[in-house]
Amino acid sequence: MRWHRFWQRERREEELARELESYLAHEEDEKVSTGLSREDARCAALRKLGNVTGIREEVYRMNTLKVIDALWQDVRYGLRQLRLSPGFTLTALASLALGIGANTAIFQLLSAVRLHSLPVDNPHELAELKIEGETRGLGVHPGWPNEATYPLWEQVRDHQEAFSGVFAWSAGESTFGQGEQRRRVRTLWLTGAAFSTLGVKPVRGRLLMETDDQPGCDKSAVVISHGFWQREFGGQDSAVGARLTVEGRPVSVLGVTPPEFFGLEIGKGFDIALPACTRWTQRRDVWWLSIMGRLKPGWTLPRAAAYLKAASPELFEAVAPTGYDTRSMETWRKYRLTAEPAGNGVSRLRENYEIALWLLLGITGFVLLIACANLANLLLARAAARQREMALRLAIGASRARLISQLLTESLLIGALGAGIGTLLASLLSRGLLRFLSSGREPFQLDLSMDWTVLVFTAIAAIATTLAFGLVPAVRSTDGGVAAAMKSGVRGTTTGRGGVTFQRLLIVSQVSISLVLLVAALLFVRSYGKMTAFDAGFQQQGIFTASLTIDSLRLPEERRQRFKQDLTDAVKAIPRVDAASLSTHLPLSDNSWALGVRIPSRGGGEQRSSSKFTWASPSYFATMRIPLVRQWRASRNRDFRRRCMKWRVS
Amino acid sequence: MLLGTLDMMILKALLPGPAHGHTIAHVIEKSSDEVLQVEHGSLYPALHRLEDQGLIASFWGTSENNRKAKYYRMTQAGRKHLVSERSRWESLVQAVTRVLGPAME
Repeated sequence: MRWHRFWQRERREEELARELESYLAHEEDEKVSTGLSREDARCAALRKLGNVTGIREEVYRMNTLKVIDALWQDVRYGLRQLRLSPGFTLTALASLALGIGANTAIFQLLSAVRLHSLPVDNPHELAELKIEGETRGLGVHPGWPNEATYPLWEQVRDHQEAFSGVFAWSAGESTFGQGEQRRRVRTLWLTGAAFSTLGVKPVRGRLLMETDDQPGCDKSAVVISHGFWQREFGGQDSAVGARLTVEGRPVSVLGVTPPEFFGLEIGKGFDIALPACTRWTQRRDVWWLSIMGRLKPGWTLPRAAAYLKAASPELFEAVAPTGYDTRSMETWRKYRLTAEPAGNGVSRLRENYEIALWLLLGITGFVLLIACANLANLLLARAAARQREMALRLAIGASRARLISQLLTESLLIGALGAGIGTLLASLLSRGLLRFLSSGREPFQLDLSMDWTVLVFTAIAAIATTLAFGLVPAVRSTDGGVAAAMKSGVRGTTTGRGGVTFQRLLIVSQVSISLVLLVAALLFVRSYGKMTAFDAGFQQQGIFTASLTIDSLRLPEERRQRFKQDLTDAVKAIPRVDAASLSTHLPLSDNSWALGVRIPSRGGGEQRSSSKFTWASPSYFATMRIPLVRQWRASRNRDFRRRCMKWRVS
Repeated sequence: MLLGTLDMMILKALLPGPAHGHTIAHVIEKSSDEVLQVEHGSLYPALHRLEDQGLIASFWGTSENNRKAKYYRMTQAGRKHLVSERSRWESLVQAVTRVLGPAME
């Protein structure tokens, strides 16, 4: 009932005005009929009616909800006050927005790479099987984070006892479609037990099973991701059983994974999943798989790690590669498997930037602290300036509660506006940061939905500061009674001794923290500058790369060299292309191919070592503009007429 | 004036039929033989309150002087309210009279 009246209060007030006017008219008529002049009659009528404003106020009070009306009044007053001191408002809002925004943004990134679990059954039971201290470069590493060879995986699969299920996986790209429609799609290679171990259920059809991943598999089964299904098939049921072309081979779609399943690497996603048997080799020195397992009930991670470590010598001995020198084999025999938690998935971003992100979070924490101190100071200064105003208002009858509620509203306004801007800033910042961390070839895709916990935490911290210090003027001016406040107000802005020391303390801490941050920021900028100016030894501008798998062309061995030459010539013939060459690895990429090296020494013995190798066509150094310190042409000298065209010594 | 008595008198004034504020004020004054001087302004908040309580209802009409006026009429609830208030008032007056005893001369 009251609400009904509340919404109608303006219409009703206007009606009352008309009613009172009607009364006056009647009274006036009556007085005129007794012989008074119109003017006198009007005066008499007004006298008879009494205090018109009083009546209207009384009726208005009946219609309104006092709290809401007061609140609305406070909000308008607060906004007016903020508009009146734009300098204060801007500084306060900027402090708040930065403090809230930066913290939320960093925490969002951290929680996306660190705290989110894989969208699978009981992710905490998942473990990643790794070699302690990594492989130290032995063998071929086609990419990150692969740390198992196929034979090693078979050993683990057949002999382990710690896991109720194990699987191996690898991520990469494969070509999709035919002719001009050919393009690259993100691909997962999974062994048969992967989906059953993870507990991922299909949304359509079925997923890969053990029977799809047998030695000599028919290579015709593919599972597609939910995103791929939506993009390529518009989410149609007919996708199951559809024929696709992958790596030039016809395959048929078995089923679709659920939308939340993005694979095992956070921030990457995938388009299609193929059985592991379709890819690569059984070679004992190609590390192209990663192994994951689900702990058996009763097994803990340390127990599994200890078990794997104990079983390692036997496992590695069984699949030792041949053709390596004794030193490499010593390294091989020292390999020990261990188990690490995999419930959060694997993340390149986490591996590379986790510490940096925590550091950033620490720094932004300081920023929040400074922001709060800054706000407190601003509000205290404002309090001193407004002390007299408050005292005056108390003196002419404002209640203390009313003043406090007004100041609270004002503080809340600043807090709410700051939090709003901070939220916007947070999403911009985290997206920007992610773009900054991504390289062009491999964009990171993270679930950067707003992290409410952090937002709420930072907002509460900031708003609490605003509230606490926003109240100071009201408290101070009512402290020693109105008269004292008025007197001190007249003299200007003498605050109590306590207030001044507190403010000093704030300023000192602010300045010191700011100094630390400034130094840290300068160091960061310097490191960043060094990194961007980093001389990788080749000219980085103007290089374009394209990759292809020559294997997939299925050319006979004798025609390959010819094909490579024709391809390089064709690229070179493109206008504005200076030089072109072929190479097995791109500089600064993760891939490497290490081989043992024997250097015959003059004394007749030989020195053994290993080195990472890149196979490149003769024009490679010219194309990359890599200066050669010394070079030997392939000479007729028998000793040098091996496969090397040029030696690069650096 | 005693709290609540104005409400009662307004309801009583509306018993014969609908009337506007000006009339109500005069009826109260006249029928009390000018003893009760209603400050006419105080009438309006009371009317407003009674309308909110559903004891009276209002409509705009044209008065005997051919002017626009807001008329009030009593509702069923108002009639009941008047009856109960009246008996309450009478018992109150009797009680007070008994306490005061016979008039002292």
